Amino acid sequence: MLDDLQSDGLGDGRKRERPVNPERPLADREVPLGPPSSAIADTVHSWLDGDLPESSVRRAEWSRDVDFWKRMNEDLERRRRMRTPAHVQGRIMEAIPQHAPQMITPWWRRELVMTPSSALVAAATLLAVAVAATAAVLRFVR
Amino acid sequence: MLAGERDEFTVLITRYSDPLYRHALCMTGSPDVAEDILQLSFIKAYQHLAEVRGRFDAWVFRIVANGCKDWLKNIRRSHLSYDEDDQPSSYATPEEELDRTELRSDLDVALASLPASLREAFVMKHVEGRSYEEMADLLGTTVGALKMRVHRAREALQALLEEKYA
Repeated sequence: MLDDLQSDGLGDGRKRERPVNPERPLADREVPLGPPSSAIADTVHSWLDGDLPESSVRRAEWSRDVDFWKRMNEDLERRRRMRTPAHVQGRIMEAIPQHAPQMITPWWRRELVMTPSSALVAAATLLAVAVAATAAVLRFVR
Repeated sequence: MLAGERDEFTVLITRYSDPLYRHALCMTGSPDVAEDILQLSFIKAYQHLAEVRGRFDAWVFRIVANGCKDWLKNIRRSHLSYDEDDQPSSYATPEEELDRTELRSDLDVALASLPASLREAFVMKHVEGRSYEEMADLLGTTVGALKMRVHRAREALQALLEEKYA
């Protein structure tokens, strides 16, 4: 299986999907969007997900898949180490407004802060409203 | 911090820019575009800091991820390779260095041929090293759906590249 590059099978009876025309450039190939193929065994997916140790995929029929993904991991590892270029942070800070954005909050959602003086004002207002309301009611009754 | 203090916002940029840059770069394949998306995302985040509910990193990730998807929807890729990272090469010979560059380029092209949703899931899993649960939380979908996307991405990438690299 390992050396049989023309093999269409995975050794367990399943067919492996291959590009229709290997002569075409990679960029021109379309990835089928149909139902997922079963080209990679579930055990290999589990190993790639980190759920199983490598020892669990050391079987002849999976060695091609395992070798492939170990090779891919060489580049993925490099991608994992990529850093933001040094100049980007400065560029972002230059583009950010100099003044902090003003948050416009409706009055009914604003936090109510009660100080002794504001409590006194509120109490006086309530008292005045109550007196005015009482006077109006008494005038209406008479 | 939520008051939008500029200096304190620098701390957030420093802390979160690397994983966000990696995401944008792997999604778009272009360092220039990735930098632009990162810049616009952080500006947007700064302007809307008061609206953050929950974790800042998850919130700003969604802004970047949406920026990448919008770019992919609107612009046909023309730039497929990106510059060297700053890491020292661990390859000993020029032949190995050449192999490395070729693999990188081939993987870029193969990734670019994937639908955005598969590419996104693959990058989040294999480059960003996120768990399926974390991915589901960030993308607002189920673990099962994301496993399916990652599996399909792997199978598509392997179908494209295995003749050369298996």
